[in-house]
Amino acid sequence: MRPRRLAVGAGLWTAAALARAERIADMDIGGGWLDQAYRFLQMSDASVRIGAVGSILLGVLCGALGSFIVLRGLSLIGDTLGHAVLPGVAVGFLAAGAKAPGPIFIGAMAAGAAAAGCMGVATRYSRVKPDAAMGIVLSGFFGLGIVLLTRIQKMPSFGNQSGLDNFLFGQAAAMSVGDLVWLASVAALCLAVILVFFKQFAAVSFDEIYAHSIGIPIRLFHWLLMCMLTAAVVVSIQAAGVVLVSAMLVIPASTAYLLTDRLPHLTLMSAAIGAFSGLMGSFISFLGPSLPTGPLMVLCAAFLFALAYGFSPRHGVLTRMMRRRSNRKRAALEDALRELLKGGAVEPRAGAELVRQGLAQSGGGRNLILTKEGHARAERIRRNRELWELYLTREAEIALDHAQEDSEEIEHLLGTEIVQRLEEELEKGRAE
Amino acid sequence: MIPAIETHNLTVSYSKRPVLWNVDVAIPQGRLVGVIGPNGAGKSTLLKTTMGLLPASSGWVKIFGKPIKEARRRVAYVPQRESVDWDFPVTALDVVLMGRYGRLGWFGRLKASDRQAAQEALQKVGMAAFARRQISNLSGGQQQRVFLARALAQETDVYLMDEPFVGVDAATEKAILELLSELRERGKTVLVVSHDLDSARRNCDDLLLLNMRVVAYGPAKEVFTPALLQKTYGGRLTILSDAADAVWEAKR
Repeated sequence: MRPRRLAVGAGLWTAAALARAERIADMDIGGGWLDQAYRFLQMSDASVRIGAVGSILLGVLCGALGSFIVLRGLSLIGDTLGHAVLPGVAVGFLAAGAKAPGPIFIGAMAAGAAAAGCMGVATRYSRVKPDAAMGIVLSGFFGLGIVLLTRIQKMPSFGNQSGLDNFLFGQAAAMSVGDLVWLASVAALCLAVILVFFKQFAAVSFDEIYAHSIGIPIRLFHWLLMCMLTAAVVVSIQAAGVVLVSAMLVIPASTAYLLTDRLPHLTLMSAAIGAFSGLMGSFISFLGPSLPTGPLMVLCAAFLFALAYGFSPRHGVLTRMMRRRSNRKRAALEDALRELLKGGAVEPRAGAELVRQGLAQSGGGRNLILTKEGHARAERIRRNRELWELYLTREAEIALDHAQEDSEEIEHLLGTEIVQRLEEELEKGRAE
Repeated sequence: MIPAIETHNLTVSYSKRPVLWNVDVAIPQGRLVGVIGPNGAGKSTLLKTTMGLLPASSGWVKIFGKPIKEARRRVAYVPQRESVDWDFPVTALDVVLMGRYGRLGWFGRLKASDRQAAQEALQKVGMAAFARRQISNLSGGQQQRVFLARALAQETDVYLMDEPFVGVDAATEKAILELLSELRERGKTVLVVSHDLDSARRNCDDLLLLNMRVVAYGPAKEVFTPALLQKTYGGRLTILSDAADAVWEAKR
């Protein structure tokens, strides 16, 4: 029920921002960055509110959608669509004669659909590979878009005030009420669709063939996802820019993928990371002139990704390294305990560690003897190792990463039932 | 009695190259059927076409006398294990719960009874202790059992299994075989694609020998003959099947 509450909260926030949005003031980037930060945090400027709310909505929308895009391996499609909508933006602008969100939305959706069609045609009727087709469509459409935009900006009737250059790199502060309304509507619709059909999207993403076999219309859901993806890209470009909007689909979702092993959590976390990155991006971009919002959002998201990459509790690279080190240390300690149990000698460093932990004490000279606690622990380790070896030989097949895990966790790992069975086998073996 | 699965003149092609030719077969209810044949014989294709996952170029398939679209609730499909990304962020229980999605319809939500059914399915394949584990942390055999549990959770009358014995440990193989015979005792119909001829002969009621066409279909004892196997596999297999015969004789 968390996603529902999230959706409601986002809706309320948008409404609040819109309610006072008439008082749009021209942005004054004259003051120092501290003044600007203060202005942003006060949220008294309508344009600040619109930019901030828009960036957050964008983050939530792209983050939530992105979780499915990343899991289905469609990241490059997001990038292609992001670039390919640009000529549609220009045509929408020309048709309306002004920067009106409605016509621009329609033009951009049409361009996105045309791009998807071109990719399909290129791969189906020729030997061109899908990634090459995406590259061709991306650059071809983007080139056309740049040509059109440059022409429009030079047209005397629009002067230099068209504001179309913001579409390239994004400028949250340049969002209008109309932009926000479109963004909020698309976000609300997409989030509702994801919420209602979450199980279908999950099943199709995990195992498309199986999903088909239980009667889920996989094509429909594929195209639904594609439509939502295009719409999300289109409403996001005002704040994030066409060049980098796909990063907001890919990075928050990839970050969340490193942090959790459950799909609903992944979607929620990805949306939250997207929202935070969006907000930070628009905040920093507000601090001074010539700070485009899109790249700042992406940098913020990339920073969070780097943190997760290193320090994610389960999948972080550094965390894994540290875990391996502590495992090695524990294994050395266990080896030393077993040696002492057998009456053997241990090397001084391991011995000192045993004494420090109160598992052994000096028995005169360089000899060490186990304490009561140390003895119990050593016995337990010996038994677990025996069980473990038995398991490896009897049950033949193991997942390799388990072999390194703590042998003291054998019950947890194999389940009590198997451990009991192994113990019985072990007893039998001893009796023979 | 209506056959559980019936095909007539079924031809299936991949980009205009036929993989199955004029397949005519009627599988009675309550049989455990091994589908055997060389690589590229169309075994998986037969299963997929039966499920309506691939279109037939000609001919038809019927499940209990009805086209698959009307009979989806009565058939469960177990795809090959390699067909999915096991790093996907779901637990074993999540996967098995997907077996209940088919009966939820467009807007249904999982109920307590669905969770119960999923837990029981996991129990049946001996995976109850692993319900909360993310699926990449399972061994190959355990992953296969999760797939079987997902099909069991569908509570259907027909089960189509695509190579469930590939890359599994001995314990899992035994567990799957027990499960298959239990399903048959409950009157279910099971089709299993297998590469292990000896095991197929010993454990299945019927065998379907397939090599683009149906070479033979019938009780295992009658169709597991060197002549028919040679027809199915081409020349090389006779030695293998002789060897299998010898092993079988020796075991008895």
